[in-house]
Amino acid sequence: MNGKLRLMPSLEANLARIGELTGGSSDILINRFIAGGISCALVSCEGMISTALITELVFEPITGIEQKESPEELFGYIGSYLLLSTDRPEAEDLEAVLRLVHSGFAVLFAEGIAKALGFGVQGYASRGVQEPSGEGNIMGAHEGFTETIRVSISQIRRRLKTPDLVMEMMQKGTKSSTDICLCYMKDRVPERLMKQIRSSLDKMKGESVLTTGYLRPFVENGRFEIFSSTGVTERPDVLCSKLIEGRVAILVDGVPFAIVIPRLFCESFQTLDDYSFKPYYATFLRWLKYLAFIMAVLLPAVYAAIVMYHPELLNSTLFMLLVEAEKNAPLSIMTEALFVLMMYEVIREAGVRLPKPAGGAVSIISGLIIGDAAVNSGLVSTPLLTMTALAVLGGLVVPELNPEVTVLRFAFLIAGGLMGLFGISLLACAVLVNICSTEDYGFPYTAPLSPFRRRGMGDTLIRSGMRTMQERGFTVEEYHE
Amino acid sequence: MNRITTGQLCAMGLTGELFVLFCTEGTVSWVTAVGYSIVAGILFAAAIPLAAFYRQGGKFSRAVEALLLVWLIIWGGMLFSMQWKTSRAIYIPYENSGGIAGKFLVSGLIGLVCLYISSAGIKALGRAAVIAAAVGTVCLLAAAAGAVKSREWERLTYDSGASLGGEILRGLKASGGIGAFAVLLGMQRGGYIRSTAVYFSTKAVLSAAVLVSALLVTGGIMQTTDFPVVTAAQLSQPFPSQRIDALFLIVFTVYAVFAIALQAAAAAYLMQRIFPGIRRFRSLAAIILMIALASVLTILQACS
Repeated sequence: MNGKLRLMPSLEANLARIGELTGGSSDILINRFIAGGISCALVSCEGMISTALITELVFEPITGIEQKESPEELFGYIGSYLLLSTDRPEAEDLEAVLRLVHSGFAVLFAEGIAKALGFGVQGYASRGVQEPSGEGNIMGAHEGFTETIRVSISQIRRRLKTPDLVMEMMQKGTKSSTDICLCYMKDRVPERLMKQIRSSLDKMKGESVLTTGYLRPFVENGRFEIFSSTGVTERPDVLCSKLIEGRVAILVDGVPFAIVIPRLFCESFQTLDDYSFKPYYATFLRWLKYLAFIMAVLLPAVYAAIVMYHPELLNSTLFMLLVEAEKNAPLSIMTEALFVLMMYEVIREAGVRLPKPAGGAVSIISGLIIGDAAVNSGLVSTPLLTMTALAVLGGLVVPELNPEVTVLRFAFLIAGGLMGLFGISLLACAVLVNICSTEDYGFPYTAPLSPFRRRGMGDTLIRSGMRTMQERGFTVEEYHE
Repeated sequence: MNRITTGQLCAMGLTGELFVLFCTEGTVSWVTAVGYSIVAGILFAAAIPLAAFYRQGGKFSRAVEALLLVWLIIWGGMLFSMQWKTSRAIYIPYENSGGIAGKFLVSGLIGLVCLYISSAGIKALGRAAVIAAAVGTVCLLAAAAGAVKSREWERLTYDSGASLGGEILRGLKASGGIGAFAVLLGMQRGGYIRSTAVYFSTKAVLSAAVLVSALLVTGGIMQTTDFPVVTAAQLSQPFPSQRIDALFLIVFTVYAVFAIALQAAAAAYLMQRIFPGIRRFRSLAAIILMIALASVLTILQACS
């Protein structure tokens, strides 16, 4: 209790100190009343509690209590007989009281006792469970996490009704005191991994945790990595599959995404739908996604490199076609491609940030007016526009990697435009080594491709039958180095 | 401590060996292929005691490590020099048009990428080398498929006039990668003798396959070609109206980078062991020394 402001037996003194600590904030509600013949006060935060609940579950029963001899007897009676709510924490210092009040608890004080009782009567407005916006799915569930951490926890628990599933709540952020839930299957997760993650979180010093991005750098290693070694998902079903594989999840209150540790490169190409389709079709889809990723990163660069420096790679018909298309373009192919890609990024960003009705207008202006005008005016050639459009579409197939793909696409384009396939090869070597050096908590990001794990190929190069996969009982520990 | 697998050891070492084969100068014949395979056998025999030494938990003394470090720097410099020389036979944009400045730019860029790769550590290099070797193999297979049309079996009998002893000596000269192998073998997770056997048998097969393929394609013009393997790749075109030289450029670049980066990474690792006080710029120091040595070698060759 060192350094903590202990509660005092005087009700007035406690209320005065609460007023002092909250700066007289107008959303702190203090209701005074007499219960069992003792002066009491119920402190709560406006907007965080349900008025109906607090009236029905707290005020009505508590004001009907018969005369009690002491505040201890009163608290004992409430705690043992009234059972006003399922969640009834006790607090002995002001810090704990304020944390409870700010979390939607109603906290009861009584004259003559240096203790307070909290009642879970949360009733703040929150978004309901909705379909995830970023992780589309055909055959799986259509519900995503919400901003309320308790709801998200219940979504996981509903799917994994096992005592092995553990939820560890903690708070992070010296100012925000954000609820964070460390979620794992205690029979699957490597103890070493848990210890390391807890230690990483303990070292975290920040004022607030407002998105997953505030936490991720603290649970990843500090080196420069192009790809992130922690993943996020907004789907409870996907998260459950990761937990079963022995991974750890971190849920953050106020954020409808969960952080998954560790994440592997190949996982970005796996969707829950893969496991709903027949293996041959799922395998086809997976290779389609690999191809789309390569196309998204390399297609504009390879196009520029081949047309500018290595036209001998093209057959004569294709070569003539491209010459015909490019001969009227006023800019170099690399400049053209950079212009088109930059235009796309500007349009995409405008579409994301603008209100939805205006977003539609942006699409029309960009697609019909700018795109059509650029080609008709000869500013951009049709083959180049086709290539960049294909690359952009390819990137959308693997949305999880979109930030990385976008930056790499530009980098490779510049390398290919300046030095042809030689430049692309050099950059590819550097990028490849960067990806291969990505590793957190001893789990290589590129596993099971490199380091090669034959058993992992059943869900990487192909998608094996469900019977084989279920019998295998995979956990991520297999990839630990 | 970095720990690598047999696959990673082979991928790292053999990309370097293949790069040296690409840079082979002068004539090659079946005697060369036999000579290089014998060299692989000799090196295997020489490496067995080393594998046994590691199996018994042995560690090099600082003096041996210092010798190995010098070896790695010299071989890295020679690899830079080989890249400098061989790239004149390969079309690299800017190098061909940029003259000496272009050549410096190309070598500088390779050095820069090698610096980044070697600073990432041997573990990352090993993982990346496996993927790079796989991609390179696909490109080489495409080139080999193109060679089917242009090969002539009677060229196997081409006689360059070189003796077997001479070719064995030539093969030994081209086996500077053994220094990096000696360092890497100690990073294995066990199975030292098996790894040594796999490494040198693959080296023997690869050397023979590359040299024989080059002989089958370029045997007719062997006297006039400077770099037989590069020329073989340039003559191997699977399509009548398309050329796939650029595929070889990719393989050449990737293998050059990995070959040099391996020497730099291994040198940086040894520097760390010999001089524990030096915590930073080890890879940079290794690369600078290699480039300096390559410059001296190139100037000496130009003067002679």
